[in-house]
Amino acid sequence: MKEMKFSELIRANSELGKALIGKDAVKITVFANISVNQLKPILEYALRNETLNVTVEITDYDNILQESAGLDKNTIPVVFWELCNLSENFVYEVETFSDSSFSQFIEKTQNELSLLFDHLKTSGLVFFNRFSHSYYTRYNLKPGNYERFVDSLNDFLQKKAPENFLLIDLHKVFSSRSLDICFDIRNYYSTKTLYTIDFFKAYCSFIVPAILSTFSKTKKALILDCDNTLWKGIVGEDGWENIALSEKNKDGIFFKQVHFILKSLAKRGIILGICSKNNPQDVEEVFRKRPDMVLKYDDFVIKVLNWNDKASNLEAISKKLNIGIDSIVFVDDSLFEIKLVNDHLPMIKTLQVPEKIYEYPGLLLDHLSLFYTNTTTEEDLQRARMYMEESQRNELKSTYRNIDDYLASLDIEVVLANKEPEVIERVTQLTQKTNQFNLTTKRYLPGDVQNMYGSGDFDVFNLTVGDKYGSSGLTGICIVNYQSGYAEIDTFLLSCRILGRNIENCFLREVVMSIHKKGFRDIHASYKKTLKNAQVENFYDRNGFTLIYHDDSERKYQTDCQHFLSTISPINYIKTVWKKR
Amino acid sequence: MEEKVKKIMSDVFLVDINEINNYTSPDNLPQWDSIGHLNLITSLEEEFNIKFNDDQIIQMLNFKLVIEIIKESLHQ
Repeated sequence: MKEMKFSELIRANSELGKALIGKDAVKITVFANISVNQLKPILEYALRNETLNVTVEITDYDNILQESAGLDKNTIPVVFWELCNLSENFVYEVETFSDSSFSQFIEKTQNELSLLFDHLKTSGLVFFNRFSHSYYTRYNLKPGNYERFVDSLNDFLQKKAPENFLLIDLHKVFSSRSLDICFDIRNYYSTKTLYTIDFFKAYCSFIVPAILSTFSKTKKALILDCDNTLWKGIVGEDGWENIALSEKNKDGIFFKQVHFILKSLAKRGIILGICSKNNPQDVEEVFRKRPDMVLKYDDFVIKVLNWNDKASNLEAISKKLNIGIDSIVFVDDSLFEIKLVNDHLPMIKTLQVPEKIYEYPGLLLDHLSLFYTNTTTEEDLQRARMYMEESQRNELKSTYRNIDDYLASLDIEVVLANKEPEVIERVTQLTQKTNQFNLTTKRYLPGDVQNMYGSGDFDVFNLTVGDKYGSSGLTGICIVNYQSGYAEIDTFLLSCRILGRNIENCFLREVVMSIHKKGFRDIHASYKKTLKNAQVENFYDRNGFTLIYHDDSERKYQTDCQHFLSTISPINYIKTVWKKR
Repeated sequence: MEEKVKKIMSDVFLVDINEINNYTSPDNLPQWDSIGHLNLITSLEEEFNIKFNDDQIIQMLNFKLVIEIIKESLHQ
């Protein structure tokens, strides 16, 4: 909304209004002693955009007391009572007041406020802006009369306003933009307008969570990825002892701050959950073995740790917790995952972990209003426990969805090369580091790779993935060892950050084609079990290879090039390019 | 620029863009009331990054005049 032009917003609001015709509308009534007509389209748009159908009515200018008498208690009142407009030149005149006229004005205004309190005390929720003097007094070192006048009436508000009054601190709204952006007094004396479009937008963003909360439309659950979201590092690759989540490791402190924020949310009854492509054992180990971690495993009501796409998992989470998909906020460091969720489940609010990690706690603080509740009830506090019990009863059922359309929209391009001299170091590093998507987990040294490069018995394929959002760099390796009469896939690995896009299947097909071109027919391959690579246990089965031997630690396969190429179809939305040498 | 202004007017007054011509004015477009006028001024200032003065605001009484006054502001 902030970037939208006002004319576009008026049009968009009208379109949203048409789409909501026939639905029950909430009525918001604005009372003001200045002209605030531009608030109408902006507030309507801000709420309609959150699927709350509202009609905003701006009542007659400077007629707050009469207009508020006998107000329908089902409408939500918003009050702009600007002390600068108590009389024509009040801001200036008050500085010349004697003590007695000062007191008289205070008393008169207090009486009027009391009357308004009485008119609105039966409404469900009233927005009343605290008085502000800052536009006129920002350079005053010592308070003058106007400032004292405003402060005194704010004290009165604090003491006497009925409980249903939500007092809005306009200074927070001003400071989110700036006084000069919020005020435009050019036409104040001619049309009694004081505030700019930018102010109204900021004001609406500020109060909208409280209105949404009244209609149970605020967010209920915060679901997070693990690696580089709950901690810095990849637990499956770096190990539980090397990830950063407290002052013990570099940058860990920012994750610790995030944990405190999450813990405070959980305390208020917000459901915390994990949705991550990881081995469950690895994640559990972090919670078990890292006492410096603020959050405990049980703080997370729901944990979904598997290799399914995250949109399906989030959908499953919403079903399991029995909350609307639109009441979920999802946090991940990967733009790919964020875009996938935005594309499939646009009603989920997503937050991407900032690249500058010191901005991460601030990002969450700025979005806490997503979880706004007018009151925290005993039930809210129990809610997390209830969900926990509920989720223990049900076994999570995965819902698979067809994400091919989404993947096709990404323009994925895979660039392949064989024995590229420049990348020996990276190839070595990947064989050393990759634990999860690694079929045989053979670790090599630069000398080993060098030897393979020089030998006619080996191919060392590497792969780089790019899409319209950028390149992932060199993230896949396949080493083929040619024996007499057959080709053996010695190593097949991918960095886990590119998984979920069928890259692995595309890569395997390209490798098989390359082997076939070389004149080989039979391919041997194997899976060697480690603590970390359970996710690829059936990789070759899925690709139609024949299992010829298996025991607890190993599975051996064979396939025939022609058979493979005729039964396994190419991934048509991935473009493949071979680098020429 | 004329097309931009037409688009803005059609959005602000919620009418079809083809309904805006040189003689469109508060007299023949009911949505162009005092609030509509304020919204129009705000939107034009936002679009062209200009600030109109009091006299200019009062003079913008039909589409043609709006265009002239924007040109005048842009030249200042």
